[in-house]
Amino acid sequence: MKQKRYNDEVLDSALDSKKTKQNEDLIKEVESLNLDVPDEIMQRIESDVEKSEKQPKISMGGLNKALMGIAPEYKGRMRLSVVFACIGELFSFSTYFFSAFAAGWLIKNAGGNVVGFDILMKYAFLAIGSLFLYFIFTGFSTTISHKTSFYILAKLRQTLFEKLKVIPMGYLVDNPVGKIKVIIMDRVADMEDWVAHLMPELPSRMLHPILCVIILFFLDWRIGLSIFVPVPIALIGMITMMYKYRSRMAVWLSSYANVADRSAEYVHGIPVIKAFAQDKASYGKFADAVKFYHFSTMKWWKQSWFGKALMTAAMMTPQLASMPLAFYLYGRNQISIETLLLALILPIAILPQAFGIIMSFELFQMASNTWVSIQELLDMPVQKRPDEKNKAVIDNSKGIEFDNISFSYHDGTEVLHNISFKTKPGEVTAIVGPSGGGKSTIAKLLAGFWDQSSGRISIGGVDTKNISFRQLAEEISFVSQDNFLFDVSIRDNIRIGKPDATEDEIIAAAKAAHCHEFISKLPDGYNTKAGEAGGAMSGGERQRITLARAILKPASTIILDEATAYADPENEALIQEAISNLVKGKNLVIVAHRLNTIKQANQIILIDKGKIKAKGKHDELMKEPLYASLWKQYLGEE
Amino acid sequence: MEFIKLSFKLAGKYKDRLKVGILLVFLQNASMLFGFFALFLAFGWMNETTGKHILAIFVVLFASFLFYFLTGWAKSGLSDGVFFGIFKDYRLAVGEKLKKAPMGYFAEQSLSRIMSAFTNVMKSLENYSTMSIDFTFSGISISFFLLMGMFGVNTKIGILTVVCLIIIWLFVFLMVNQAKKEIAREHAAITKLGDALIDSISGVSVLRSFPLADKGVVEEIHSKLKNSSEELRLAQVHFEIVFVIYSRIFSTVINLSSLLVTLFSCYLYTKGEILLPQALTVSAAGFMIFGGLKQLENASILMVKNPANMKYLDDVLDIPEISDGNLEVVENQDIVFDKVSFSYDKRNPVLKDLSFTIAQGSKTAIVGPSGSGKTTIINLISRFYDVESGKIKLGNKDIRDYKVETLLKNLSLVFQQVYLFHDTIENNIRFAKAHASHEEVVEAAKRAHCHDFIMELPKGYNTMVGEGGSSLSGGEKQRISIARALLKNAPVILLDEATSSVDPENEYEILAAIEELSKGHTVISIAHRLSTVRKADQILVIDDGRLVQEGKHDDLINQEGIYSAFIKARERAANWKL
Repeated sequence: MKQKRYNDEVLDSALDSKKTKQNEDLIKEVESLNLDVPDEIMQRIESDVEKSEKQPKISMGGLNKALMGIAPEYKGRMRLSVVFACIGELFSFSTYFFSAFAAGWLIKNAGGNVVGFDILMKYAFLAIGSLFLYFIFTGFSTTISHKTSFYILAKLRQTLFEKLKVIPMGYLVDNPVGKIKVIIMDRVADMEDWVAHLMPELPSRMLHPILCVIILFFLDWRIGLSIFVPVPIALIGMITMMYKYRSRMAVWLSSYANVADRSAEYVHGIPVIKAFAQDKASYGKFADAVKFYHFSTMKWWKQSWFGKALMTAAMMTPQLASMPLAFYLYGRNQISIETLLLALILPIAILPQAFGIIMSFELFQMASNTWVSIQELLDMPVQKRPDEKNKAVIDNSKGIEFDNISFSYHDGTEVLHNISFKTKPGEVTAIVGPSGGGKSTIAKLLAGFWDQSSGRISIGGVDTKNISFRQLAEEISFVSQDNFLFDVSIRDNIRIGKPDATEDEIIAAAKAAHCHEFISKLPDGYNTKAGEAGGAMSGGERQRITLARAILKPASTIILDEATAYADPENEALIQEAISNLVKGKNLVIVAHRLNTIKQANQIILIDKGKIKAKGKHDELMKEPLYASLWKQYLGEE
Repeated sequence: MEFIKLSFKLAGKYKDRLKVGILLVFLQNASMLFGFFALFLAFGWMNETTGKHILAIFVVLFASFLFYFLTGWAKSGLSDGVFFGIFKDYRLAVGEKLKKAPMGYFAEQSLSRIMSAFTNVMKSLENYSTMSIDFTFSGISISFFLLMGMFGVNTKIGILTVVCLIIIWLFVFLMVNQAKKEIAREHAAITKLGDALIDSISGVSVLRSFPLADKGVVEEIHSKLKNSSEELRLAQVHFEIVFVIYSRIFSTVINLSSLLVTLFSCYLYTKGEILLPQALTVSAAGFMIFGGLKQLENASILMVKNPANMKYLDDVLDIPEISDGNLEVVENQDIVFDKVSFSYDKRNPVLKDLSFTIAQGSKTAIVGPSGSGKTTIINLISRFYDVESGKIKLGNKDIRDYKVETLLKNLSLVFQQVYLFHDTIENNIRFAKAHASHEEVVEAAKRAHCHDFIMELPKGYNTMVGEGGSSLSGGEKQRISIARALLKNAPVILLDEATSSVDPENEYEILAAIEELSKGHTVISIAHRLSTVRKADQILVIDDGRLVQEGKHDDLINQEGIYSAFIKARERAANWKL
């Protein structure tokens, strides 16, 4: 067992070094293109290369298996659809055979051996019947497969969404909603071509040309071989086309990504451009990106024109050798007229599908890259907590304790180092320090949004890892600038904090959060649906409703993370008063940016660069130069 | 066809190359006639085939190959990249136009629509336009040469072929038309799902923090998402099934056509109307050529998507331009609002009959509740929007009489939301003055209190801003934007103070930078900070689009009204303690 694992590791590292080698070669190749690639595009290529080194690779079968794994209940149907498609394809051969029969019929008649036209008609009807079956089978097959495919895509969206309920909450807090949406919607949509078209159709698409080749060999091996005569020509075309393909592709993709980013920047920065760059021809970076993209694309295309034309021409003339050969053999009486006809038709019947198959390999590349980014969310590890039925006994006479906590994000950079502190129940603990020092991260770890890398966090004497998510969420309220309301009545929005709250409790909470007054003025008062009131409420008012929700919730600990940071000035005082009502008598941990807010805190923890610099009361901390300088700057403001 | 018309409209200087490309695609399929000819020869000699005959057949086929290759190569060289050129020019032209567009355009179209026009839509068009034009025209030319061959053999077979072709093309059009209808339904479903997802994702975060929430709310989130996801699924299934049925019928019809032509030629042979080689040629060639039409099936999806994309571009990038005056000299910097009214949507007025005067060199603070129209005042002075009635004057002339360039040269804007480009810090500052020397940039940075932190960065002024580069704090970005305004050194400063309080260490530096920027200039600021209003020469209090109070801090603070309430609220906020 151990030995096997060791072997795997050796194999992995061997593969890794092979990959690295390939990627180094790619960079060198890009340089050899002499395109004068701008630095920023070069950096993009390098970082893409780095990413692709880390990215797991997936095979076609693996991808299909993973996709079917999303909806295993549809596996049977998918198989049925493939079988039907293949049967359908077989029927489509009837027309070829009819043609061969017709030729035989003609020759016999010409030879004076008169055969009635009605026999030909009979075969024609047979062929038409087969065509009808072709229509039924392939039509039926694609109907099933498309239903299944879109079911898989819908299920995939649902699965990803469900995943949001169990992955670390920190992912939801740290990533903008838009970014998560892109994965669930746009990335899944990018899979559509593969899931809906190629996955179910590829087998039958390949069946047609393969059968053509087999039949030709079966009829006469020399004819079978002869259809491969144009292949070397096509190969020459392909080789010149593919010359330095990987590096060209990398440059192309990166220069397009650059155009997209620059366009986004140009459009979003338009007020600045209007205000500052009216006189300039065009903002240079944007124009440069567009021009280089065009330049590098045309360079690449120019290189591939010859090969592309050669390859297509060779593929379009598969009968180049087979047709003269077939006539030669027929002239020598070595094959029948029927065989001759099939030898003329079948090579050409290969064509339409062959192009499709070539294209599908490119689509597979795209699909597998997309899949990797979907899989990242799909496979995200889940935090381990006990079941919610096992309630931990939290001792309310004990506060919060951080014991030697370190934390790093999964990319490995450690942002908190050995943080230890204790709080007493009912006290105010403030976390202060320069921006980017890790203040918010401490608050998020306490709320269970991420798991610490090492150390122990406890609340009321219980390790937070032994408290179910549900119980922890009941104990702790994490309050930020969030102002999301559900599209139900405002009453129900507040009631989320405590489902069995009475009307009086709800109104009391709304009053404490300074929102009773404006809610009463809405046409339907507390019954107004949040969505309908949307335009009538400001961001500050919405935030106050979410505060009423938090006030109603019977939590013992409140964490404030820059809750007033983005309040508009008119609302700020009201929000602050709502917060004051919320935190009365609770354990309070506050990440502060306004120092005089927390001057009276029972404990102030000064964080800098992920470490505790000092802790204590305000007066004690004033001896700490960093804290003193924060105050000095703060006082300069007013 | 509509698509080809639109393509030519966009093509500009590439029109001729586009035409040549179409011509060559058409010509390329004449290689089919070679194949037809080879078959005809071969069947003629079939009973007495000699080596010479075989060689002749091979030569004809090889000529067909060569012809296909050469026309293909020429076609690629002359016109394959044409759409990349077209869209290069188009992107640059649109970029220019955007600069002159009123801001109302951006609000109306929404940035995300403009962005997707710029990225996905253009990318898809530049990649697939050539392909769809090629497919369409090779379909046409295959049909044409097929007819030529068939009529060459026999008029009756030619007529039958015409009938078959009409049916085949009819299905192409039906397929495209039907798909166009269905695709609209799919797009609507996609938009709806996007909105539902945004809500549901935010909702999940809340529900995880409030685990006691009752079923109704949980259901609300889930059903909304489920319904719209389901709606999209059904729309997609419907689209595909309609499309698939058509495409199956289409390929069945093609197979059927070649079968009928074969059968008919046998029939004509029994009637003695055609000869044996002709009948055999038709049986074999029918398959080859009708088969070539199968690529129209692939083209049809492009025939739906490309015109839809073109139309999207046409809609979104139909960019209006603001009127330009011709005055180039500003005599003084007095600013006068004379009975100005304005609304963003032509219905709900934001400014109502607003009049005030700002003297050159004075400091004016605008105060008022959110939504009262403060930012609109700045938007109007900088002509991001134009007044609906009344006049704004600068130096006693209507601002619309100046060249836009001249007007904006006289203004320096500091926005509430700082926008920095993904470029070096130096270039971000230099943005205000293209030919500024490094020394000038450093000087501006020093005055804006950002030199010190810039020097601490690993690459100093060459540090990249944004992703991959250093991440600057909100206050640091704010100061860089002030340095930009300082470098521009325009006589009038329009300042929209950030509402959010940033880190304390930054706050102080920002104020000092603003102080430096204001020196000796006319300043109009939307004020949120007490220190700004206290120092102002003139305070304008705006409520609901009207001027309600005007004067200095000391006068206004003692009056009952919005101003004193505002100051009290600010003081309370500043003294909040926990």
